[in-house]
Order: sequence, then structure tokens, then C-alpha cells
Amino acid sequence: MPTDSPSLRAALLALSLCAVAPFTQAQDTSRAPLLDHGRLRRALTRFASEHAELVTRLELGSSRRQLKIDALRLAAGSLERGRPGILIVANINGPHVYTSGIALEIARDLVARYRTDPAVKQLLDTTTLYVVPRANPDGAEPRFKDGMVEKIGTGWNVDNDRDGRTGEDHASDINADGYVSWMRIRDAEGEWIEDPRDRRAMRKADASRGEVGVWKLIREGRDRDGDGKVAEDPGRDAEVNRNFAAGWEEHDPRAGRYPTHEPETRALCEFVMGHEDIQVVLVYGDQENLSVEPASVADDAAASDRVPPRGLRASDAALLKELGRRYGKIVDRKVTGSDDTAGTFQAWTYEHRGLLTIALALWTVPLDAKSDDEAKSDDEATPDDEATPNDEAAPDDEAAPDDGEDDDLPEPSDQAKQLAWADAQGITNFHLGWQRFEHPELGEVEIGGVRPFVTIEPPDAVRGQIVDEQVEFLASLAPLLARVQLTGVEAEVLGGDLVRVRASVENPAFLPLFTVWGKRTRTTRPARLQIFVPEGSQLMAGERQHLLWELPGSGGRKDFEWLVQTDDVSKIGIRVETKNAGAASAVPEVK
Amino acid sequence: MRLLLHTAALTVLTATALAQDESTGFAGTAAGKAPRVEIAWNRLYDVDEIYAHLDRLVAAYPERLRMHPTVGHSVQNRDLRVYVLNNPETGLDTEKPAMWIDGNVHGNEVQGAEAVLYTAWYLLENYGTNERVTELVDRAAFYLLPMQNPDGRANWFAGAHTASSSRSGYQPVDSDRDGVPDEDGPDDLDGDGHITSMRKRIPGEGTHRLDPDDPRVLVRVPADTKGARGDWVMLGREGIDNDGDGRINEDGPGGYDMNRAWPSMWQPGHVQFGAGPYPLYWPETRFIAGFILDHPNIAAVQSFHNAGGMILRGPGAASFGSYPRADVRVYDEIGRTGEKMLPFYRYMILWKDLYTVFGGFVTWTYEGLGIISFTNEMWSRRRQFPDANTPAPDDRHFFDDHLLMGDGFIDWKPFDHPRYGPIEIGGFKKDVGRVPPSFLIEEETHRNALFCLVHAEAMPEVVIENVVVGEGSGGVRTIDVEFRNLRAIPTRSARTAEQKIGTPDRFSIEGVEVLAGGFRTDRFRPEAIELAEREPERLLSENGVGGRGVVRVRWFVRGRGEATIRFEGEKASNVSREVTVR
Repeated sequence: MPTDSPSLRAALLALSLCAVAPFTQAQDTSRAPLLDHGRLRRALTRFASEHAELVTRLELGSSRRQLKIDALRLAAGSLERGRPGILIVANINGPHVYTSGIALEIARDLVARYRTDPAVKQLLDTTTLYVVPRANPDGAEPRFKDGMVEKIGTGWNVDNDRDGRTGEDHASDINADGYVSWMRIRDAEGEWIEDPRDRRAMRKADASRGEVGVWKLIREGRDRDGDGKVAEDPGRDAEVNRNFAAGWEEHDPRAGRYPTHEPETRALCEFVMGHEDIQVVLVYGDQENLSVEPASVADDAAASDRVPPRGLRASDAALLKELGRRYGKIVDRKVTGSDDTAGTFQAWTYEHRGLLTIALALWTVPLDAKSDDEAKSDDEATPDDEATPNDEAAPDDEAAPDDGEDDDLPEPSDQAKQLAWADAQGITNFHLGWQRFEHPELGEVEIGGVRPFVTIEPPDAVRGQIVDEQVEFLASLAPLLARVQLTGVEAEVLGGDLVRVRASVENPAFLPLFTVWGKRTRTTRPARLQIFVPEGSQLMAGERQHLLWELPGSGGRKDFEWLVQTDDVSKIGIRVETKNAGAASAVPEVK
Repeated sequence: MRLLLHTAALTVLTATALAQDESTGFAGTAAGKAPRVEIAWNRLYDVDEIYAHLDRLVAAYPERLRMHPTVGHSVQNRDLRVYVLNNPETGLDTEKPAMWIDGNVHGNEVQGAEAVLYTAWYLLENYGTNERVTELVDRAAFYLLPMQNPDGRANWFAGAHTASSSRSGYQPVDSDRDGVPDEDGPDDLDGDGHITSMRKRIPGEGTHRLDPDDPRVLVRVPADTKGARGDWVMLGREGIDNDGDGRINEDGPGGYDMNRAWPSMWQPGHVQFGAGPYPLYWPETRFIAGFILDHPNIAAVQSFHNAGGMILRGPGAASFGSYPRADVRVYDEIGRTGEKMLPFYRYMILWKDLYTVFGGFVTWTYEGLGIISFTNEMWSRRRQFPDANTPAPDDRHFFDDHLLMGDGFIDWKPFDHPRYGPIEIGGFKKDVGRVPPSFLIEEETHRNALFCLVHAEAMPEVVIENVVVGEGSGGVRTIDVEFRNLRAIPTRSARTAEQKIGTPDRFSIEGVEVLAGGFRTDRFRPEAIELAEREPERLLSENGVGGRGVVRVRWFVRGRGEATIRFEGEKASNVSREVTVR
């Protein structure tokens, strides 16, 4: 569509804004709306001040562009020593803006249910919840700008195209439809074709099937530096969630200059290190390890050049599998997660800090929705529809072979599957269509493709559902968190004033005190067991203090004994302390 | 980088300087020469004294030495000062290739600071009288940080220490994870101002016996000696169980290693001790990294340590593989020259010849930033008896007894230890073993400083040569240009090119219409050209100009007039040349 005349451009813009309407915040009536930085801050502040008895607002620091990174602390009662903490981090991947609304709504829902829901009450009474609804405020900003773009990088800038200039050729909304989308250009060197299963979808030509590419597919933008390439040197390359130290990929522009060079990354690290009460971390992002069983390696996988292999350890995978089984009873939704963990927060909290880390993708476009014609052919099999003539069900598809055998077509591309889902949901503006456009440098192109953010953001109804599910899952975690107890604390008088004292440290909960990485890195604090003997008494055998670096879950136990010379057993004290799994004290019972 | 002054102007300046300052300066020759600033080179200086000497040099040579306005701070709030040595008459420091020199990242490895101080002093005192020093100071800049770890140094000087303690920085670390940081370090039990060793006599049940020729020395009894048991046991460093956990000296001050804190191939603490929770965690390291990243003109790095007599380069770990061959050639040339300058020093590869280091400083400056970087491990005990023909005993006591009059050793004395009962405490003092004795400090610092100058002289210097305007037809003419690097270090190391670090070098022409152009690939075949696809008047090269190499460019131009040919790069001064196209 030519857009030479200003009036036509204006009309187009108006039209496109109409089309956007269901997804803009002004119209967003969902339970977990999209909130820009200012609105999110105001909502957090108001929420915290309205529920000061349960909610405290915290600040982690500032983003590269000086936006504050906020957090909420949810806890009822006094924050006694050792009370376990759960850290929830949302919107660390810039474009996952909607997860901020989810996190905020989860916090609101927990508070609202505190007095009525016993599971929620237990959660807030016995644990401390830290919620960081938007770890990456800069990354969220492009969602709220005209010329909306799914851009992940927010940080350090490099000269991607090696022309001696940095960030001079970024993607842009050249047809002023409100989106930075895609451009396709007919080109003999192009690698892309329209997916014969759905001509709106683009997929790479499969040479092994004799397919020949006819389109080039590139980001929407100009060739600002005149080098013949479009949008090849965007500004702000470094990504917050590739800038952590675990598996950091030096010299990848997305990884940043050095680990924690991005202020958001460092602020998160400092927050985690400054809160030794955290026992479990949940991240709402693009990875998934509950709905999907992630790959793992043996606990004692051999090191190479002293460096142990990265990734999940088998014993921890078993924990996640059981949590996943429970999660599956609450959440019946398939998601696909990224398995690229290089330099991510999730990798750092687990592999370097030893914290059990639950990665949740929350929602991705279901790829198993049936397309119209598939749905119809399924219907054919049902007795009710026997009357339907076969030819009506034939796909209206030029590419279909003459004999009408769909089987010869390759599997639909993921994008075709996404479109099938959108169609089935009745979402009409999932795809922008392909609009002809006279590009100032490239000549005739077509602009369009799948609309930015529709594959990231779940529909309104689903967002509400996600909140309910996550609240239920969080509440179910409370009794599973590792907790130390003292059992069998006994004193046996051996004769005279010589007493044998016994005590066991036990963890009745499902989760162990340490993950496999926790045992290895020793970055989480050990449990400390101490015996106190009264003045005038003497410890004759045994250590005054034991540091425990291992305590399995589900009744894991360690036994200790001492010999004490004393005339007053009742003044002997045993105490076990942790930073993140409770504490207990006892006086030995004389047998 | 801005243009360097014209060569002719430089020559004039040099001549003037030489005439003015003829009375001072001493390139190593002794008769009748005196420095403007006298510094005694037979001793070591504490943090404040090092800075005071540098400030004296600033006062004496304000035109060529200044303290950089950005000052870092250590954990205990001591200054991290970078002194900038540069001749502003020939351009800003940021417009020249610069060498970074530091020392003392390990608090106990002190004499690196003296070597940094000596480098500044030597360059300033000899500028204007020595031709090579003058030339070097006119074309290059130096960033001098005498101490990466001033806290470690200050505590090592002030406190009771061994030769190896106070290596860490001084951020409290709960090394034994009992909830209290730094509560059980070594103790100066006998109050003599030194941490030495403890030994106990247990007749017939020990692991050691006294050397019959010298009872100060304990000799291990071989485990398989039947029946013969020693009479003594070694009990480690002087100390008690301060925190009552049953262990002695297990949680001293700090407890980390700031030379394991750098981003390239960094590994966390469970892989190697002391790396911290993430790279550049400690304020000292973060300040230094920031300074270096802000100065892409740094083209050479030396970071002084002690001890052992080594000229070290990366890789720090076998899993890195090898450095690119072209860079290894540069390393080898400088390193082997160093072996000849520094008696008993060996040029070595860290992981292969010493031990594995992940996230070391000079491995970061090379692997991360592409800068040819060395660490010298200063002082080798073999320097005590440099002549191979001297029947030098290998024992430390001979040297101490005869050349230090016994001043380096504290003889064993009885002590009643709260856990071990009657023991003896004694041993060598902290400044024996890892630092040179007083009378050899000057030689040690001089040789190492001069090795830095060899390294600095190798920093790239590009000149434009052999500009030939060819005969053309149809109004089109060729312009051939040679961009020559006179020095051993390339303008962009192979590592820099391979990892696309920083900005590529630019070779440009301005003032005439450029129709085509590119890099020539065969000096004998002018038609062999990698033609630029676009902007032929501004050619970019990831590889830059190799060490003592040439880049040949041919441009096809139209029109007449004055054209300006330029080279611009991060690690060599920019140069330009005018050419008339008639």
C-alpha cells in the first residue's frame, strides 16, 4: 500500500491504532494489565501503603536509564531469624512486560486471601516473599512506545556491523503503523517462502524437499548508514539476562561488557547476596523447568580443566520433577521454554548461589491448536457430520497438489501453528497482513507479519487464570520448604555427674537444605548446631559447634552426641540455626 | 586519536630539550649525574610514601606527570591513584598508544609498586637527555597505578605478617562460614612484631628432626625410615584458636584473591579460591577495569607480582587453547628479550609452566581486550648468588648469616601455647624470601622498569609512506599509499581482530572524488585489490597494521586538488599526509 500522501498515512495510523486497541493499556481491562513504569510504581506504592501490615516496598537500584527497580516484601508477623524467603522475579526479559502485571496481581491476591485462605495464610505467616515485578524497566519501555518493538537489548552498545560507528542503524516503524514488524522482499537470494499450510506464515525454504526461497525477510527499518543492510547495527546490544556470571559468553554483544556491567544485573546480584534468607527463586521469563522436564547431568559429573559442567544436577532435577508433578495438577497448559541459559539470572542463582531456581514461562502460544481444515476433517469422523460433503472440506490452498493429498505438505511451521491457534481463538489482528510499501532504499517491499508481542502476551482471560494458578502453586510451596528441627534431644546420666547428650537435626519438609550446587559452591550458609553448657560444667567430648553442609529433605537427619560433666542437665542448651530454613532450640530430656 | 605533531616539529623540540637539560639525566652511566628528585632505591615504601614520592615527581615535572583526576578507593578507603605520564606538547595521553603498569595486586607482593615508581622516575629524569627516552615519552603515554591493593600493602607493612600473608584485600569474609568474619587469623604470640612458625618437641613421635649441622633447620624424616622417628612436629603459623572452633588460623583478614576477579574465563569460588561472587566484585578491581575500559588507547600492560623470576603470559587455563600465532610471535619477541635483561627470569605460559589461573588480570587485558600483557614475578632467590661458579649453598641461612648479618631470621624461642603447651616460635621475617634484600632492590626495579620500556617501545606507530599518484586516463588516477607500522606490536592484535574488539582501524582519503578503492593483497600485482563495497574513501580493517607490517591501499580518484590521507586507530596515534593530485 503506497503511503505517499500525508492524509493516507494519517488514516493508516488511525486504522492501525484501532486494530491495536485490545492490546493497549488504555483499553486493557484484564486482571493483570500492562503497566508502564510510572503506573507500575504508583500501583506498587499504593498497594504497599494500603497493606502496610503485610507489604513493604523495597528498592533494588536503578536501571541503566535511571529507572528505579522496585520490589515488594510480603510477610505477616515478625521476621524471625531463619524464616525462609521466596524470591519472585518477573520481567527480567524486557519484552515480557505482562509478567509484571502478573507478579503484582499475585501479590495483591495473596494479601486479599490472607485472612480467608489457610494455605495463603501459612505462606505469609511462615515465609517471606520478595517480589520483583519488573527487574528490567528499560526493557519494558518499548512496549509502551509508538513503534512498538520486541527489543531485548537495553545496555552496552557495540559496533555490530564493524563500520566504526555504534548503534547507527536500528529497526524502526517506517510505515507508521505503530509497530516495528517485518519486511519481506522478493529476491532470488531470499531463503524464505510462504508456508503452504498458511500463506500468512513465513518459513525457511527446505532445500531437501526441492523448495526454493523467494523472499528475504528482515526487520522493519531503514538503511540509515547506507551500507545496503537494514537495521544491522541497533543500539543497546547488551541484555540484562545474559549479563550474569554463570555461563557468560564473552565477546557476544548481547552478553555485555563484563558480567554485572549492566546495573540491573548487578542490582539483582546484590539483592540476592544481601538476602541470605532466600531459599527458592522463581523467575517468570522465557525458560521453563516445571512443565517441561529439563535436561540434567549426574551430581558428580566430571570436571574438565577443573571446571564442572554447567546445568541442572540429577538430584535437583528429581526435586523439580516432583514439583512439576504437583504444578501439573494446578496448571494444565503446555509451554515451550528456551534452553539457552548462558549468562542468565536463573543460571547464576542456581549454579553459583546454589539456590533452587524454578523457571516458569507461564504462557507461550499453544502449538497444538487445530487449523480450520483439520478441525473440519476431524468433524467428518464424527457421526453427526456424516452428511458433510468431502469436497467442502478440501483446503482452499493453491499450493495443494491436484490430487488433494495434504499429506504431501510438510508439517506446518511454528508460525502457521500459532496462526491456527489465533484463528481458533477468534483473534483477528494476530497477523498484520503484508502491506506493500515503497521503501526509500530498497524499493518495493511488503511490511507486516505476526504482530509484535502477540506471541509473548497471553490473552486477558488467560492472564487471570495464570494469577490464580501461581497463587495456588506458591501457597502449596510453603510446607515444602526445607526447615530444620531438633529431635531426640536427650540426656543420659552415665554416672556421677557425667552426662551423654544426644540430639538430631532433622528436615521433615520435602526440599533439602542444600541443592547439589549449594553443597558444591557453599555460597548458602551452613546450618549451625551448637551446644551450650552452663557455667561450672564442662564439655568432655564432642564439638561445641557443628556446621552442616548437607541435610536431605523428607526426613533427612543427622545425629550428634556430646559428653558433658554437669550437675544441672536442665541448663544444657542445644540450638540449630540457619539463614533460610528456620531455627530450633531444645533442652535435653533426661532419660 | 588526534594527529601527532609533525615529525619535523618533534625533532626541533627534542634538540631544544636536550640542550636545556644537559646537566642532569643518567641513562645508566654514573659519573657526575644527579637526578632532580632523589629517591633511595635501597628500601621499600609504604602506601603513603609511594604516593608522596610520586607527588614529588609531579611537583618536579608538572608538565609531564599528573595524577589522574579519577581516583578509586579501596575497601579501607585508601586511594587508588593512577599517575599519567605524558608530554602534552605532543598531544593528549588519550591520543597516543599508552602502557598500563601496575603492581601489588597481592598485598604482600610489594616491590611492584617500587618498580612502577622507578619507571616514572626514570622516564622523567632522562627525558630530554636520553634520546630514546625522549622519543618514547613524546610518542607514548603511561598509566601508572603503583598499588592495585593498597590495603594489603599497608597492612603488610604495619602488621605482624609472613612473606605470604596479607595477599588478600581487606573486605571481611567469613572464610570458615561460622557467621563471623575474620575472627581467627594468625597471632603474634610472642609479641615480636612478626608472624613466624611454631614447632614442638615430642621425642620419638615427631615427623621432623633437627639438622645436625644447623639446629635452626628442621628436616623431614622420610616416612619409610624403619624405626627412626623424628623428635619434632611443625604446627604451622604462629596462632591460637581465637574462635574456639577447634581450628587455628582458619579465618584471617579478607580471604580472597583480586587476581582471580577479572572477566575473561572467570570461574567462581568453588572452582578456584577467592574469585568472589561475580567478576570485578571488589571496588579496587571495578575501578581499575573501568579506567582501562575508558582508555582504549592502552596498547601494552605490565602487572608486577612476586616472586620467582618469571615473565608470565596467558593463557591462564589449558581449556583456552592457544593464543593466535601472530600474537605469540610478538609475545615471544618481547618475552625473550626480557629473559636476557632479567637474570634468572624465565618467560613462561601461566597454566603450562606455573599453575592454572581463571580470571587473571593480564589474561583479561589480553583475552578480553586484545592487549599484549605480561606479569613479571619479581625477584628470584637465585639472585642471592648470581654466579653459577660460586659454591653457593642452597640454604637460606648462609645468605642471611653472611650477607644480612643474621637480620632476616628470628631464632627459635620457647613459648607456652594454650593448646600445644611448651613449643618454640621462630623463622624468617616477612621481608625475606619474596622481596630482594635492601642492597639488590635498585637493580631489581631498574631491570624490570627497563623491561617495561622495551615493551612500551614495541607499541604500534604508524607512518604514511610512498604515496604515489599514478598516471591516469579519462581523468581517473590511482593513488597508492603504504601505511607502515614501525613497531613490533600490531595496531590490532590477532585477538582483537578475531573477537572484533573495539573499533576497526580506518584508512581514509579526503579532498578528491573517490571512485573505488581497497586494500592491495599483492605488492607486485597492483590489480590484486580487495575492493570496498561502499565508502571507498573510508576503508576499515579489523586486522589493522601488523607488527612491522605494511598495509597497502589503492584509491581510484577523479579531479584535482589537495587530498588528505589519514590513518585512525585506537592503539596508535592518528597520522595524516597531504598529497597533491594534479
